[in-house]
Amino acid sequence: MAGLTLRALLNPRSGTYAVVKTFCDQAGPGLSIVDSSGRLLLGAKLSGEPHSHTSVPINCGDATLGFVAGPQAHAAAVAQLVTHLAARETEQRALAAETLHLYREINLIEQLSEQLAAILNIPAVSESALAQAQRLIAATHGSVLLVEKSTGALQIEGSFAPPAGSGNRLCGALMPDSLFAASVLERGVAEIVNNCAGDPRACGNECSLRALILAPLRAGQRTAGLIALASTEPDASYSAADLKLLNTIALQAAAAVENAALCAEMVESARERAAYAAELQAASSVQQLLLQGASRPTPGFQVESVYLPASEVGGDFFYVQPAPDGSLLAIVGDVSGKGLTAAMRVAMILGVLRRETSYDPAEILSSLNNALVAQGHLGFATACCIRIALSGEFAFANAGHIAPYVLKRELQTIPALPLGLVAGQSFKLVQGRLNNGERLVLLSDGVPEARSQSGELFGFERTAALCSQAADGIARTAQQFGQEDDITVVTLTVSE
Amino acid sequence: MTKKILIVDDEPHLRTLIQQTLEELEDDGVELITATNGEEALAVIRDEEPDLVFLDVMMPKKNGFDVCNEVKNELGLSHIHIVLLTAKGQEFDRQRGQEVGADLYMTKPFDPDALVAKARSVLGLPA
Repeated sequence: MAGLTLRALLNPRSGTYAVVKTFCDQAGPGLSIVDSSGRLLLGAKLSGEPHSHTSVPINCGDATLGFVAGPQAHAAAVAQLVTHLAARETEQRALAAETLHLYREINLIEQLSEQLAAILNIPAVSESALAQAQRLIAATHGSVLLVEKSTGALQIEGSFAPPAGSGNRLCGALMPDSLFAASVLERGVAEIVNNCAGDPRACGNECSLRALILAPLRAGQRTAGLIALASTEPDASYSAADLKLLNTIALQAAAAVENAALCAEMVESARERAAYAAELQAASSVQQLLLQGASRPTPGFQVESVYLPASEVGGDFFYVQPAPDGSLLAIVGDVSGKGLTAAMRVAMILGVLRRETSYDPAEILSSLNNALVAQGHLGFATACCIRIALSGEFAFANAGHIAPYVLKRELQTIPALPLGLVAGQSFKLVQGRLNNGERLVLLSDGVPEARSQSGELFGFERTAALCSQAADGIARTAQQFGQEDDITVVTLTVSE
Repeated sequence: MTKKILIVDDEPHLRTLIQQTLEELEDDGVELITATNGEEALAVIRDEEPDLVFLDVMMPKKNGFDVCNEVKNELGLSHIHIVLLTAKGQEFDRQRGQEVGADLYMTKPFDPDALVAKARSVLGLPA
């Protein structure tokens, strides 16, 4: 605030001027008012210095604003009036200055809120908070330190300091290992330290700070870090008003830091989801290729297969392979788990089946069981494996899978554990015969476990009733009923 | 020619606040004039033709909208830059300010720095 001048006080447009002039006019002729430089502000310049005239100073605090010249008694009275008016004007100006300071604070805090609401990266939040804090609170140094979530250690996210070469030995107000910072973080309460060098927590270059003010960045119950301002000016001292201001800024900044962190996590999560979706898509393509090669045309048999994964990649598998003696080997199974993990298990199982030299269903299931047990972490799988001759004679083994259907009937199986649970498990064969025109159906539990929107299960009765249909009809019916899991249907018919 | 800023507000303390905010411009030769109501403001505007007017809206005798409308649309003084300075912040008032030709609409509590910056910009003074 600029100091009051007599010229400003006695501006001819002002009310004060009118009052003083009226008073002078009433007091009589010969009065004049000049400012401290001798400039005439009111009345007429006195010619000569009659001994009856005197010059009475107009004081305001320690300053002499000017003089009233004229007859002693009148000049003293006018000087007293103007001195009183000057004191009142000074008070008004002090009040106005205080109000303007508050106006400035309100507007800066509003600006800060607007800025922070629009910023979604943490360094920019820190810089913005420091810039606004520096505008409101006198400081030579400033820092924003944030707690690294994984380690709990403080990191400098933003700082300001006088340029290098100006005798400055600090890059900001505080370093991450500051005991002042640790203290504020621990207590979660803002603090003023107006004599840093005398505080036992001061260490290293912090002793060159005169005054320090710190506020925690609190978001909910969590303290995300702190903001600190400091001054090396010899007479620097922070007040409770400064503390409230810094706390207000800290609260705004903390919310913005949390928003920025949340935003970064969401971006990272979206990136991971996109990467996972791409991997899933790649796995789906690989799985489709593997399953396309899982069924070969076999003379003397009609084979139909439908595979409808519930998501990008499925946990079902099937494999159809002619044997050297003209018979046909077919296996349908389902691995535990979902997504990429299940897809990897399916790929591994198909690999084992391709390398398998035996055409005996029980031996094949034993091989698969051993392979899965050997892998240990690959979980388990159910499977039904069948070998059928051109004559229609067949033998199958079942490892916890749905039994095959013939003529709308479920074939009796010998109970056995799924694959991959117990090492060295053996499987027993069930013999049978498929007559000309009869269709043997192998399927996965995605068919009987299809579920309608009302929650009704498709069930085994409907499954059995469907089993006179072609593979596509069975699979699509179950899918339309309400697919919940992968659906695989393989049908085998001996050609006439 | 002396550049002039007219401050119009019926509240004495607000006149003082605005005056004190702008008094640094006196060092650049700017004269600050005040008026306490709409009618007085119009008289000063006719006589002094200030370069810039900070004009309160809610005032006795004649409100700021009417003063602005008269200056901009009836007196042929549209070159005078008028900033409506008001405690009202409703969109309706902002629109009304635009309709009567105000150059800017600022709300109280005003930003002192923005007020000085605006005055410097309008008067062509260095920032």
